[in-house]
Amino acid sequence: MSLSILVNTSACVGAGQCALVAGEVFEQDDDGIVVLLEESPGGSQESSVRRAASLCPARAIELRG
Amino acid sequence: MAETRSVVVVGAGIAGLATSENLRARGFVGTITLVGEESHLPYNRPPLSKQLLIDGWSPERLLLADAGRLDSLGITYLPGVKATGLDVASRRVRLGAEWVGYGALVIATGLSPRQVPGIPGEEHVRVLRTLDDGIGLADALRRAERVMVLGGGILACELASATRKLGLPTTLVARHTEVGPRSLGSAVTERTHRLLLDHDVQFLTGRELASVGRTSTVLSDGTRVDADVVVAAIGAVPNTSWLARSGLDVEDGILCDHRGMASPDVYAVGDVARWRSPVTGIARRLESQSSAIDQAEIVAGAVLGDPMPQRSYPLFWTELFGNRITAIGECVAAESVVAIAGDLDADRFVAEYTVSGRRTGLVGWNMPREFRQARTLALTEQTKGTVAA
Repeated sequence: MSLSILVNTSACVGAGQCALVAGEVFEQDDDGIVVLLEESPGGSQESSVRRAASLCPARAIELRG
Repeated sequence: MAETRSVVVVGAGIAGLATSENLRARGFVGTITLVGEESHLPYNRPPLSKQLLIDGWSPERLLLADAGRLDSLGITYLPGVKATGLDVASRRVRLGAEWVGYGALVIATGLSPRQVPGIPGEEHVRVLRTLDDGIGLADALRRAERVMVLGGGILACELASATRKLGLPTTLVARHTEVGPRSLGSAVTERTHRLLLDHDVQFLTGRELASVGRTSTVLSDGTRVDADVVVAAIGAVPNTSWLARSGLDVEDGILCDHRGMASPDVYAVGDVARWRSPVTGIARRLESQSSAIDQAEIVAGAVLGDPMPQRSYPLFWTELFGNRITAIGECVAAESVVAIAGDLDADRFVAEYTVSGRRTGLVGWNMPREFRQARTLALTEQTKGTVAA
């Protein structure tokens, strides 16, 4: 089952938690705002992506699937 | 240890909700009852002083979970219910007038804003802690002509930043002459102070409020200040009065060990919790959204007998007049503050705080990516047991 990711850039506060724990899926732009590198990452990324979503202090990452 | 079959979580902010979610994510199949004193669904507090006031976000955008999500997680949500007592010996918590049994109890009752001490007109002074406070303040600001913010900490700075962004003349009244996030040390505090001055926030420091009227106030030195909205941000105190007879140590928050346990099968998370550091032995409260999230993860593991080894460092962020400030670790007691990216005198930098040559904290000023990269380095070193940020 593949995971699909939605990021809410207007809620993002640029804390960088997501890029810290799942750097292959999330990056930050110059303002710190989340940039999604991979909308449907493979299964090997699932646990780090779930952790990124749960650590986001702005709750700006939504996972489906 | 007997398997826990029912968990009651008292407090439905981020700490309580995240604990509930983590329990399910780790496969807990027993009942979870999430008790919230407010009537709303669980919501996110940091935007109350930012997007809700400045960007006109609707309250719905602050919600952390809708009823469908709580349902699908099998979380029984009890809004508008206040915890009123705890009996650890019989493992029962009092919700309203009813005693309810628990297998494990997680306390996440947060803080209440400190009120201005009894002065004439105190009923005109607003505070900002709950969604209802925020909705009321946003509405008042739409009709306001001049604003007074009381307090000198980070929330006061955020409020002044918001009201100036809305174009409202703003006076900041504080007892301290130093205004800013004092936990980040004097260099950042001074910069923040300057930032507010540059954006025409009027400062009246070293004074207190003496009386408040509908359109003007009087300070302790007799100064009269016109303001039709007065909002106090003078600190907040742990919501522990309901635990007075519980036997728990609730002096400045609920005293817990390094995994959040206050007493067997009783845990505390978030702003109300005072966890003991396994390294320093010092117990203190961390008023930080990210610490609440970390603690939720650790306590969910502890409840399930599945300990999480990681330690949490308070991560802080704010945005003032478009400047994005991030910080982690311990900054206030630093012996040395050095820029490791950018320049301390410029608009962008990452500052490293050290004590005896060891990194204790980091502050990013408009350099969020570099701040995170510096953290990555720190975390790598942390696994070798040398660094604490």
